[in-house]
Amino acid sequence: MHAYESDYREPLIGPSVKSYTQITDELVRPTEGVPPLSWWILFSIMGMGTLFFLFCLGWTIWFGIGTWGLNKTVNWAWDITNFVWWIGIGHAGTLISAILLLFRQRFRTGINRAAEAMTIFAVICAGVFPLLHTGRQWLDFFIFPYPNTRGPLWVNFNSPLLWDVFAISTYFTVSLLFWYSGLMPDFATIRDRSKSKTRKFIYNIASFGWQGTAKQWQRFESLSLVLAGLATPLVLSVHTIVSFDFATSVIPGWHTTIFPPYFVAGAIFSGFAMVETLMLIVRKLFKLEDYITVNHIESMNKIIVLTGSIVGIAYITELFIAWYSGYLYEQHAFYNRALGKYWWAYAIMMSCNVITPQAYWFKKVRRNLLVTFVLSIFVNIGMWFERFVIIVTSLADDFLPSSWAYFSPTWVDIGIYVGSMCLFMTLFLLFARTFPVIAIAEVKSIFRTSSAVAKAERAKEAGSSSGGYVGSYQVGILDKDAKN
Amino acid sequence: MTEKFQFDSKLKKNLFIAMGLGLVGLVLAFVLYPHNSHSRFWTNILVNSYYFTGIGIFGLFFVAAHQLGYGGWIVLVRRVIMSMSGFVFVGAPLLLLIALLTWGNVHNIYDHWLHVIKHPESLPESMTTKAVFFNLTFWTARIAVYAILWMLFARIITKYFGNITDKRSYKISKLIAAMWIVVFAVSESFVSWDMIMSIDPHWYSTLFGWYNFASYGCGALSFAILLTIYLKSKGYLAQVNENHIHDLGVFLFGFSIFWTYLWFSQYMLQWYANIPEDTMYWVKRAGTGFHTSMFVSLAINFVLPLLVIIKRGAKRNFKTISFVSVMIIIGHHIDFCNMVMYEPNVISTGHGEHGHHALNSNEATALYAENTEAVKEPAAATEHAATDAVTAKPEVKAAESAHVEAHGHEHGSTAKSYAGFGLVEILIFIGFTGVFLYMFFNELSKHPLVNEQDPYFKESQRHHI
Amino acid sequence: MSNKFLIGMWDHEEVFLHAAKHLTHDGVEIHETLTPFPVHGLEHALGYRETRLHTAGFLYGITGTTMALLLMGWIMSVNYPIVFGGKPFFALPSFIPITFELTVLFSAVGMVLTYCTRNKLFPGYVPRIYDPRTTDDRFAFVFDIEGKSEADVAKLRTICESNGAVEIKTKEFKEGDGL
Repeated sequence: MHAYESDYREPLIGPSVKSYTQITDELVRPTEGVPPLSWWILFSIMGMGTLFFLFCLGWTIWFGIGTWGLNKTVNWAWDITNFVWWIGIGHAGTLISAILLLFRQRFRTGINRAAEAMTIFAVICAGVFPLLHTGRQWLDFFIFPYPNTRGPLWVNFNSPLLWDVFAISTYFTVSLLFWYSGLMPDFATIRDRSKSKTRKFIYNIASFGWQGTAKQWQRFESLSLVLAGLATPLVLSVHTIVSFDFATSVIPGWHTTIFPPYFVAGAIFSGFAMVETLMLIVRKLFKLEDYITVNHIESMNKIIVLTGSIVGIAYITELFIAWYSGYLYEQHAFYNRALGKYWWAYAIMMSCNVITPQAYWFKKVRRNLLVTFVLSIFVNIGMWFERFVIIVTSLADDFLPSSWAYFSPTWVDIGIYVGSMCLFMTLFLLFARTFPVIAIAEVKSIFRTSSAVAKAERAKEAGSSSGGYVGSYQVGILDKDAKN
Repeated sequence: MTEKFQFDSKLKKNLFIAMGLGLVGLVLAFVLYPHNSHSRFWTNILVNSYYFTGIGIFGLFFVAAHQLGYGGWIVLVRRVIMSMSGFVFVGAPLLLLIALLTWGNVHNIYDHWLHVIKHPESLPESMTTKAVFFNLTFWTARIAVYAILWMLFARIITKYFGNITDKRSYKISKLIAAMWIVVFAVSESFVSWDMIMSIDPHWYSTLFGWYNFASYGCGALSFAILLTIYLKSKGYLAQVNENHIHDLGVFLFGFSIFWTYLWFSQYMLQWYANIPEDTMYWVKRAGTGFHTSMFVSLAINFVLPLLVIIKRGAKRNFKTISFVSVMIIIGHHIDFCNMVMYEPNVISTGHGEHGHHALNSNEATALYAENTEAVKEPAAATEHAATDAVTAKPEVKAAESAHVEAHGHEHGSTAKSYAGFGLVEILIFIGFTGVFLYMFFNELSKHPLVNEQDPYFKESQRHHI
Repeated sequence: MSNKFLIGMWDHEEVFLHAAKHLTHDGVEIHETLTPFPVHGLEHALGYRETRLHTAGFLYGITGTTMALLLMGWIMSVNYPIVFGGKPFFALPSFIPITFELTVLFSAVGMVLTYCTRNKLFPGYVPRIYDPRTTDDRFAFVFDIEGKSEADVAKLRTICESNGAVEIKTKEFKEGDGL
């Protein structure tokens, strides 16, 4: 008796993977020995960028928010744009680990670990911006409701910004727990392979003393399922609350009820794009082509075209309803977005988010790694501009024409943003070096059902010559792909 | 083995009884509520046609989405879910009929904007967009297009998805699925604006299409669960087990939460921003007894699934899940009544015999008045009333909303609503359920229940969670 | 605490699952079952009770909901009642987001803590490693043979062999090895 899977499903583990030990070897190897030169080069560039990031933070704290390009009309710009962008990127991690788990999409096993790590690093990057924007960063602890000696004085629970504080901290905590509970068994695997005592000691601490007993696994599965069930509405709520920051206001272009679901779709969209960008690099860097197959990339591309289209429909809905409402300010806000002084930002947003992802309707494009890499970067750019368009165009032309303004970033704005990307990459590179980038236990658990070898074996038993996969791509082609 | 459903005469008889009850309900509604061109009668037809058609097309969407998302488990129950689209062949023409009858002023559902567009000279500049969108020909043509597309895809999908046997037909099915999802997404959003949101043309909500989609989802999944369990009890679908019902239950749970999420997002944002055009929608409903129905629908559609079917055992217990499904079907019907019933059933008293014609011209002016007012100045009084009415005590609320009504309709006339949820609604709902089930079983009996050649058939057979 | 164990190892989870059913059926006392990844259906084969972790999670969640509503309700309408944006003191719609977040937070944190406690997981815990390959590619049953006769041990070996074990070995721990 074998675990069954339809032969119409493409294998999720490449044909050269033949045994569990091989999976362990190949997935643990990146954490052992000296990393490749390319890693060192990337790491030093990103490390320097991170130092510059810290410098810009210091500069902002020392000289104040005045060093940013804000003016009295556009009082929120790159900081909040970056915040929303980073939070959005984080969403794919939780989505892959939670929602795809609930939907039993097996392709998640190859990418969930790295995507979850990405979530955590992205939330770290995101958190910096609102904390920095408070102005007096040393008083940031005021955002928490705690009994104090300043009379009965509490935070305002009616404020969406405070909801954000709760949403982001909960999100960070839960993602961390989810990620780490999945990591424990894999750390134990590394520990049990280690030759050196120090390494054994460190990874045993990291694994929390995991043994892998049947009872542990039973609780593990229950925990992952419930955490997935909790993380799914959580991930929706986080970007929903981010959208509330805007939608609860009465600023034209912001007060629209579609914001919650549309922000969530956009977040998933940008998150998947970032996962693709990173995974394509990791796959190359650590030679993991058998675990992150073209099939994984294609599945992610399908989600990108879906969410991209949802976002596109939301853009059009917004335009339509602005027109339909007959409300002059609303109409002006949207006219201004598309054809006003920020038309270029709108054009970048539309072409990167809505138009280019439509290429993914074609199977050839979905399976082309180079195109995928380029388009995933396009989506990241487009989604940054989406937030920029929403935030800055609505603010730049306020209700008083005499104060209409144009926002231009300063070097500090740019430095913090670019620096935050370097911080993100630095954390990710460190992660890729010391943690198993792919969930070892989870990949093993689908080996008998979804690997190319298992499929071929099953096909041989059934006397078929199709190579175990009767979809449009044969194992042979995958083989060729793995060599690319 | 190609098992087919036998639509026997006993079942037919029961469904005809249900339809008979519905007919009685329609006659009662027509006779008992003659005000506003029998608006209670027409709004009931609209609510039910819209709701059940939505359920039908959602069924198609659901199977299409599974086809694209490699959902293998669904194969055994796919025919049941698809066959719900049988009603589309009744519902879509009924919706089109409602649209066509608008031309002859037979009913007053869309009078709020209808009158205005007939007198474009009375429009302020900011309202011209509505005149374009509600151009009667354009509007009717849109509804005709949705109706035709839905029926077309219902035919194609029910025919094709049951016959997937090889690589080629599998690929084509994916293509059809992708096309249908695009058609569905666009037509579903638009029909919700055209037929439901437009009843009150002042009010708009960008997520309204999504909100309706979630309602369809809850209704459709509930029906899918009930019908599968029914068919099993009659000895069909022997291979379907509690794992499949569990999965449908998970989706039902998910959609119920999703619906609540959208309800909250819509309500909270409008409550919070407190803009008169937004809050009027809620205040009107709160002032005419619909306040209760709002909470009833929240209790049924959110609290009930949250507390009952969150448990694994409950989703696998046929009795529990059936009970919850029945409740959710009713709950979303109440919610649709909430959306549709209010506007057309309001009658402006103080205009004596002029009846609804007086109301029409009155509302035309009101449309103008409210909008210019909203644009030019914050309409402080209305805004104030709106906030209080949503949050204050019931008696204050009633008084305040009466004030809002008066304000809206000018000349100090008071409005009286004949909208409600009573015997006729229940009877008509039963009648439409009868028609829906008749069309479903009729469609179901045409094809084998399960396609054993499907590439995912074995996965569905061994489905275990 | 016993220190002497017989370890039977399998290399294929389906054979192992089969063995688990047989051993449980025959009433063989299994000290520990080790697998490199969760094997679907193993807990049923071994006759384990359903875990009640999710019930605990539900209770933690309800605690979070109650805490959040009580805290916000008290602060906003008793301790510090100030009108914000024309909203009532107890502005329920405004409280929903934080209530939800705290529900999830309490539930998740509580569950993970319970999980770690029940599974004896904490940084620095030194478990007994019966065989390092059980986290790699071996599925193992560990039998307690402390004080058991040669014949009994031999019988256990036969049972393992007949159920498809690929490797059988004994291991003795010193007192204080692991915990």
